[in-house]
Amino acid sequence: MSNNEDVYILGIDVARGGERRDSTNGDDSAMTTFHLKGLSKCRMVNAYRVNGAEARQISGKIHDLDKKFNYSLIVCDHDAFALAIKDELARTTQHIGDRTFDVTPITTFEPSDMGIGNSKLVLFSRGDFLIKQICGRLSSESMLTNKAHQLLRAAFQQGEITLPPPWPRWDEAGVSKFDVRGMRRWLMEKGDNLNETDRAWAECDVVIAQLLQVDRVKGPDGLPKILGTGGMFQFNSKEKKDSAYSCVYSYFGCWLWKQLQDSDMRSEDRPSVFSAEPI
Amino acid sequence: MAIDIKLTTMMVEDFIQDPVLAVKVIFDIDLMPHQELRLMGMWRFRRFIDSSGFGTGKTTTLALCAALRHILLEERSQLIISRTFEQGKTLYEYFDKWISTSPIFRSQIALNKQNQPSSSHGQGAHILRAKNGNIIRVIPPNFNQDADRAKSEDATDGYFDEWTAYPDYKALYKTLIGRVRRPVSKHYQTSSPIFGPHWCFTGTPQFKWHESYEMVERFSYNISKAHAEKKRPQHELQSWNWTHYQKTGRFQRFYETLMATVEEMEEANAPSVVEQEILGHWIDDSFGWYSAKEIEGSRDGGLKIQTQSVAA
Repeated sequence: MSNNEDVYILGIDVARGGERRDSTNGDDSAMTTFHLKGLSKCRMVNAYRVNGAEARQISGKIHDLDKKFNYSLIVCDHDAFALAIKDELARTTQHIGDRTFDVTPITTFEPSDMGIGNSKLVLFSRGDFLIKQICGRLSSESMLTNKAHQLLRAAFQQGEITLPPPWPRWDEAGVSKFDVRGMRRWLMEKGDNLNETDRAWAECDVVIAQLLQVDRVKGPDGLPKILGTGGMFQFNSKEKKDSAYSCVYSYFGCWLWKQLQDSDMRSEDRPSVFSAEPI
Repeated sequence: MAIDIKLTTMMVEDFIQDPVLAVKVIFDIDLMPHQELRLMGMWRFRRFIDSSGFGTGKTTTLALCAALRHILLEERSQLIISRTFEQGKTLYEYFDKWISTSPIFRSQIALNKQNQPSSSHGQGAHILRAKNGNIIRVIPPNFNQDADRAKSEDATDGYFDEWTAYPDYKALYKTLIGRVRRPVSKHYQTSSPIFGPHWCFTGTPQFKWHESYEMVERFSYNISKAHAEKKRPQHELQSWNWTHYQKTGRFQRFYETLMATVEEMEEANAPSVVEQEILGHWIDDSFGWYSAKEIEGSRDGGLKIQTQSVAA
């Protein structure tokens, strides 16, 4: 494909709904969209978050967003619930609330999935087919998580990411820009009254506020704890981090896409970005 | 007039020298030691920045200081600008409250045609008039229009509440600060720290890379320079937090209430936010994995949120 084409990448951090439906305390499922133009700057253009949704609803929302953005890649965290969503994404009929619509299924790049839909789903795991192709064999899952955080931080440092300006109505809402809990609480109560653009814009601020809370787990000495012998860190947050992680996955998807486009480079020439060196 | 609502010349002279006493006598408010020092700082320094943590009474002290100048000094025109007009209105509520709770304060407020205290709550400004002709105006900042609304204002004293969260520092430096330009009474010396003009900035700290920190650095430089030259500084920087609360005695209830909130906030916020919002410290950057400076630098005012089909 041409390097000037518009590419959209979705990152998803999912959380099981079911019994926690309608609660405000359970984890959220969050989605962040990056726009990649010309394989250079990544622009955060949309964010979405829902609390207590089931796999069918989340799948419906992903397909709804996919109809708008025609994603090139969708990177989703990998757990049992994500596998349920993967199955839902592969259905030809989707649902949002009472609305039912027909879609082309979304599948992973696994050869066994090929041919039954659009291959664009990447499960954020060292076992994922595309990740294995791009990143090679990884000795642990934490290596992948560490590198995703490292890549996103480097992208900010190098000015490769553009974020929207702060949503201008937080003042009116009486919520400060660092108050993750306040933002989330306000959006839970009043977010449904916002138009789609305002809601997505406000959710982008939730992503950004949550990112600032992410840090490496530290020991009693105040230094980051190192996992095992691989020199990897464990990441954590004092607050909810679902939105932040959807951004981490989305940017990781942008990076994967850039690697895929770098077709002139033979695999053995690719830089060893997944070394076991500590960050 | 009953004795307890009379503001005598002697009282005025005493209160001008001791605003803490004035607050006690006029408003029946006990200030904590850090609030006394803050009020003295606002009263006795031409330029004052308070970067205290939340819950330490910045806005209340600012309102007290303005209320005292309103009734104790001559020919004052005071301008209060908060981050939003809504926040400014909240601040103005103190004046309305004191009109009803303080007979002395009420006795100094001008009366309107309905023989009620002249406190107007217009869409364009909230205005409090005193019998001595003084005026306090709380106006909308109008940052969306480069603070154009404020260009017609002039004042002897300017209060910039929540100034560290202003969205437009060009408007603050070029327009708003310059509104403090009205000459003080001919009975006063402009150079006097008490009677001259005042610029007062209150708000929780930001990162040191934030635009607002430039002014803190300028204040710090001027204070050091004055000390080096063995002169009295015209600038003052203060920052207080919950640790300066009196934990026992008459303030114990306030302390316990504040502590409950502090504990909740410490639990919920990143360390950098705790340093700024709770402890009142200006810090270099966020302490987490992602830099607040870099993230803030990535924000593009022209970037649009997309919600419609990109194929359309």
